[in-house]
Amino acid sequence: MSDFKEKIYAELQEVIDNDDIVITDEMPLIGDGSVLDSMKVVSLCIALEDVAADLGFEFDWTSNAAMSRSRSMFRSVGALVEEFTKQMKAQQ
Amino acid sequence: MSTLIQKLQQIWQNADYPFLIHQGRELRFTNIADQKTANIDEIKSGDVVALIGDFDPESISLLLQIIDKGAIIVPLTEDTKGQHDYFFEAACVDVVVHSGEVRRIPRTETHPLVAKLREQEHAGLILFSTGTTGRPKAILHDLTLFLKRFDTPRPTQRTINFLLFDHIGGINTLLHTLFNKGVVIAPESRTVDSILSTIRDYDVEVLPTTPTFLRMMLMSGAVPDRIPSCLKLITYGTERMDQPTLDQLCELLPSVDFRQTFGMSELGIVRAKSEARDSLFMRIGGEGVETKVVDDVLYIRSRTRMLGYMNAESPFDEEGWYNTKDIVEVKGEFFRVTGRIGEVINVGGLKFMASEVERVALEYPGVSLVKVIGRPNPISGQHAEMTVQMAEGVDGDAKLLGKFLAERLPVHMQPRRIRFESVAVGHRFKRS
Repeated sequence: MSDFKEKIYAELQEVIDNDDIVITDEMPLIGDGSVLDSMKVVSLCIALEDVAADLGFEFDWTSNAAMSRSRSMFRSVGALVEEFTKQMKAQQ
Repeated sequence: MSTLIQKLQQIWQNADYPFLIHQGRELRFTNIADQKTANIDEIKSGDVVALIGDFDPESISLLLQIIDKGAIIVPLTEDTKGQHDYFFEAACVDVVVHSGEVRRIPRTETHPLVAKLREQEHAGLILFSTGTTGRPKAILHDLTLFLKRFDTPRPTQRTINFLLFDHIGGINTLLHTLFNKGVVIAPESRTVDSILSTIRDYDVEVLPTTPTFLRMMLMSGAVPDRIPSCLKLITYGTERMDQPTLDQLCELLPSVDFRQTFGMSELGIVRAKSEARDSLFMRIGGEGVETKVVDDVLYIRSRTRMLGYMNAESPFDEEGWYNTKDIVEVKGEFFRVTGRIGEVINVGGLKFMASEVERVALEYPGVSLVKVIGRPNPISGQHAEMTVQMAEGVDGDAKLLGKFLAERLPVHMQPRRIRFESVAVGHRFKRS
């Protein structure tokens, strides 16, 4: 697993605040089967802004452009990691 | 003169369907009227009564009984329990009804607005709103006059009551359904899954909700495949909707109508009519409601407005106009809200002042200056972020401060990010 993916998983584990829950790429972030409520998803995204800043780029999840992608971006942990990676590559 | 409960009993006497579906139980109006509740014999006309509850049979039954006593009701929920003591003082509450217990708070003075209602022997309703002074304002309505609007019968559909017990929209939906023989379905929880299964299981036709919920529903992947075909109308309000979300919804759900609602606790219920299902422009009006726009800001004058704030100056000008602080774009007789003046933060439809959070943070040991801002996001519309300057020589710990705030503020008011850096000197919330 890449370093930043590990960081994303670690942030997610912290937000979930329950070590019994095993995080997988397939885990939904919003809706059916999600272990997070909406405010926890907000907290996760803010934590990811900090992870991105440490990696030298800006993670955008609040602009209009990001909003139009939000249906796919927040569907699962894997989808969020994919979006994060895409933005990182685009800015490096 | 018949009581409210008698009037409703008459309306419902030949109805062979439930008025409320709550936690899977179907309740006829007779069940509500017969519901065993706390003994409220000691409550008398003119008492200010805080009722802490939700849309459950006992709370609804108590609500009707308290109105019938000619009391002034303050509906509150568990979610705001950290603020209850403040609410009791601001609303001059005489009696608290909570979890089957009735407790009296001794008072020696009477608020002039309450005295006026008592003199007229009218029931009252007190709701809390945000305000520019920073603390929630106690908004007093003449409930006897408010109830008159229900004398005109209107059509109803099977509706989820998604709104809060302490919100004017929630109370209005409840009363509208009761007076018009509708059906209200109380969802088990306010998650997307729970709402969708409630709609499916109970043939719900109308979903009154917030843009935040609709954004969550879109992101969850439930649209369009898991939206039950019984759903005919989605109404949204209490916070600003964005066009991309509305466009996606309209495209994915072609057989569902979308309507924007507009209301402010200060004005009573104001009617809004969307220009089209995919348009954010709406016409604002209704009986006794007038509008005008001054410097792009919407002003409303309404006959059903509140009597006044109990803990602040009147917000109406000499001619009775109310400044909504909504910045609007005008197209003929339609308005579109494009922004808001002031510091109100709106998280998923729940509004509060930045200064409310700043005030609590300033109670934390070692905090010198605080600034809270609302930041837009695609999930909850906005969230709070906080910048804190600690006193010289004191180190800040975001986790500990976060825990302190979590113990004192409802979830939506808790800052999602806490930064320690200098806050501009001269900020109005500097600790004195």
